[in-house]
Amino acid sequence: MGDVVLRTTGLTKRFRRLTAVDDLTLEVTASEVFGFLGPNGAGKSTTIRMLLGLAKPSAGHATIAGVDAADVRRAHRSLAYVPADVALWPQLTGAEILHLLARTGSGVDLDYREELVDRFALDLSKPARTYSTGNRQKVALVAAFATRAPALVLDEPTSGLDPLMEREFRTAVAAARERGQSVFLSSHQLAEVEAICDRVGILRAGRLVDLASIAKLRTLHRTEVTVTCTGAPPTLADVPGVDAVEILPGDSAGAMRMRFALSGPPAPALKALADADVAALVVREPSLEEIFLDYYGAEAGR
Amino acid sequence: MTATPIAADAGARRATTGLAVRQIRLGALLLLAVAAGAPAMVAGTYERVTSDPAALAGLGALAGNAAIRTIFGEPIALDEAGGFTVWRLGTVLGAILAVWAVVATTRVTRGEEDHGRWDVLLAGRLPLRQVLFRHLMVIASVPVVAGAAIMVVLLVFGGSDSAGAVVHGAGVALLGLFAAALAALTAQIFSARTAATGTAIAILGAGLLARMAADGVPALGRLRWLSPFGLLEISSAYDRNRVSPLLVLAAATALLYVAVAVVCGRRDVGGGLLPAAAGRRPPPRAARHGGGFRGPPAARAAGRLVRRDRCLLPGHRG
Repeated sequence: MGDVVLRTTGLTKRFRRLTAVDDLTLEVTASEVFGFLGPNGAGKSTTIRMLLGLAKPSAGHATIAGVDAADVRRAHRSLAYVPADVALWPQLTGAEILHLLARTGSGVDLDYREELVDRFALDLSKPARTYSTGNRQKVALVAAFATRAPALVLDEPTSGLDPLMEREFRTAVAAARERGQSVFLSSHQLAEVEAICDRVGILRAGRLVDLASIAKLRTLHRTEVTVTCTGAPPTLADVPGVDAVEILPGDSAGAMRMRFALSGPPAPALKALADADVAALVVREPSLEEIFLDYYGAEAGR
Repeated sequence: MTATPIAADAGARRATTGLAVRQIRLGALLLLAVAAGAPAMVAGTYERVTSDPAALAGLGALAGNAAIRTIFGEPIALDEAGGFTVWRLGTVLGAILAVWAVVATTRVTRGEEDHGRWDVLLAGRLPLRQVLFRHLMVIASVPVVAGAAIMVVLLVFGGSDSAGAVVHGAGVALLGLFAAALAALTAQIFSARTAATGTAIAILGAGLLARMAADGVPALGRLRWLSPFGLLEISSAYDRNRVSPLLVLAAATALLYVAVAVVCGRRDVGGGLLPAAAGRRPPPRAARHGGGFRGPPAARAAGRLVRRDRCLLPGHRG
């Protein structure tokens, strides 16, 4: 583990009777891409606003590179940010906005910025009022990735990007990680988080319900196993780790099919299956989407 | 990349100032043209009016009319081009400058926050208070230059009383600064631009009404001390040239700026000191661009009026 770049300790934000973020404690280290998952209204943006010092915590505190987030002048020397809904000055061109953000933000690598402008296919000569949502997002992404700030805070940064640009985004995140920058990526796009994050925190109604690596998160959840047998079906009822055994309609050749959920070590289930005449075995790992639905239930996972 | 933090902070401050200038420069130039041009034109008509006995008699009758007196203020020093110009234009120019200052202030502070443009700016090196005061400083320079322009025009065309030109120029500048400070404060209190603009305009409107009431009803003369327009009037440019009302206006303006600094430090970015009305969630930013009204009913009503008419104001970009 590298140095801690972003840290929240007991971070809480209350709006009157509503608790938007509740006792949030997490750390993001250098060279780490941290996914911050949650549905709309879970408190992701409020957390980010507290990290940026834009909102005052009701309790707890956050630090950026060891500096209290409330000390904006010092903390923001180590930070770059892409908001979820990028709003730019309509009368300024893309070039003028990048120049403005370079002067007001942390230091910029101008050569790398030019490379990013090319990669994101950004026309900087146009005024921002002519930019689409995706182009506005690209301006903010180029400005953020071109910095050498230790912490990049990205709030749903790809919602307006097309698939080609999403690929460029992922490349830029990987390059940032290689340079030692840490990326705090708030998202509700599970595929994106699954593809680029090292660790993930899942926020539900303001509370952190899990904090794990992508791989570990999956192991916490049940694997779905479908077995096709030509002989007598295996007895799985009392096998440790096996649950939700379900007999499926047989296949066209008359073979028996069954499905069960497997959690924990698979050895007992494999031993039980060894006694049966197994013709086919399909093991399916749950997607992050399904893990997500486990936390939130079907309604929240819309 | 190699700049020291101090140099980088200075660069950030200059860039923020430049941004504020870009946002108000067109409206400000138009306003300055009016501030300098209108007094020159009115002062230029003075010779013609006073050389024609019929026109002079008409002016005397007009000045004695109670309704005219209520609108334009007490006619004093009409025997001099400067005094005549101040009487004809003082209230009108003051009101135009004050309304511009309010609309420009709420547009480039609360409006920018409301649109989310300050999100990327405030992720930079400068904290909210500094970004806010950089913008306020640029806006404040406009009434100061407008007041100076009026003063120069009156010095050239207004006659021999140079103290009158200075007092009136300073008074108009202070009135504009007061309006900008008031709008900056309401922009810290309310989380919606329309409520902030509406409240500031309503307060200034009440101030103008107080001055009018004081001019119309002698028993209410002291109300002038409670109104920025009244204070401008009782500075009595080209007559007594009183400085004390201007000092009161300057002190009130300074207090407002102190209040802005205090309140700004007590709120979240994107929010106001007063939370949104109970039971109503703030609409999303995109929807708010179309105009969400929050705040007291009077402020909302005034805000709607301003929203309807503000596209006619100099510097408005929508």
